[in-house]
Amino acid sequence: MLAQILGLDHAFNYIMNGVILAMVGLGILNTILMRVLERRYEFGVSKALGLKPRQLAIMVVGESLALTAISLALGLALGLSVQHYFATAGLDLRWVFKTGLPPALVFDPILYSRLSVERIVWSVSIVFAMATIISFYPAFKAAQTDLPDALKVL
Amino acid sequence: MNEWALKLKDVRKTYRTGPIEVPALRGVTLTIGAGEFAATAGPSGSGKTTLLNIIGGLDRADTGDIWVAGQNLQVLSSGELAHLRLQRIGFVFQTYNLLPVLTALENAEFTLLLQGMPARERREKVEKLFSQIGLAGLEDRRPKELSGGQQQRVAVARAMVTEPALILADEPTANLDSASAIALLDVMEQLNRTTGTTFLFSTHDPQVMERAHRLIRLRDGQVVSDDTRNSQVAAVA
Repeated sequence: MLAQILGLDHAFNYIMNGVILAMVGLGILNTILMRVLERRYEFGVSKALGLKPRQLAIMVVGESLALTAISLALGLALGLSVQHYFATAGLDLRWVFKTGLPPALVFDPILYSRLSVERIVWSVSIVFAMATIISFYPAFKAAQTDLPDALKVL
Repeated sequence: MNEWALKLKDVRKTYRTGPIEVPALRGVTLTIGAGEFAATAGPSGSGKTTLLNIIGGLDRADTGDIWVAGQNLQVLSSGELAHLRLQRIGFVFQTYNLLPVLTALENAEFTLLLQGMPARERREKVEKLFSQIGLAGLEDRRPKELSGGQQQRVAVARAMVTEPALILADEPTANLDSASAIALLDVMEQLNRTTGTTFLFSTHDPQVMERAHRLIRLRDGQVVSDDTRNSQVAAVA
């Protein structure tokens, strides 16, 4: 029974992670695509002056990865700070169960978070790989910027 | 070394929007010699801008041959066209097309940056050119802090700084007042004389037509006259 409950918990965890990653992916795609669309004029001028489509695509991917790296650094700093707090002070459940824990529950009323380095590396790698793959489409769009139409002043 | 800067043979271009076809160029054949200061003129819709865009590799002709700096543009890939533009062609646009986030100096050195020139050399080169064309002291201003004439001179500096064989200027004086237009033409004519760079304008500004050493008139996508009288006058002078 307990094994089944734990199995269900793990499965739910995977689903939640998948949903979160999908949301992160869509967020990245939206951000990069909007930046590319907003900069159509700039890309048009750059292409007209001699920037090659391939260089433009590399530039977009590079900028996307830089943006992802900065976002990850900020996210990690914030996340690790919160993790540090809950790893040391813990989450005290006694204020929820003011009269004491129900007798059926036999765990410590103060929950301490644990985070392994492997998990951080895995998450960061997944997000980075996702950002790299997702940036290919906006990069392709940027490389395809139509000349001379893109030179028309906004 | 070619004695011509560009050659066009029976160049045709038609724009298509759904079932509607608009012929822009109907068999243009033209040769512009190296070092010429030439202009194409004609009413709106005569094909001037299309012609310049095709010569500059910004647009592709449907048929015909376009030779610029010894290369047939029709067989080049978009990457090869970009390389040709970077190395051999300078552009001056009617609406300046400066990048608003960059300063005047950064705009002018942009093409040198693409060519991979080190920062110090870039700066020296642009500053020298700025002082030649009356932009000294304006290096750190952004486009919106400059007048139309100054912005167009920055665009000329951007086009000239790579020392291209050919400069294409699409109605460069269209947004300028008369005095700024004359000043700009002075700058371009001086650069043409001192560097031997070929200039080809599109215009319907009488001042530009008067100053051009050769005037090619277009109507309905065809060359209707090619007057080199100005060129002979200039040569005699």
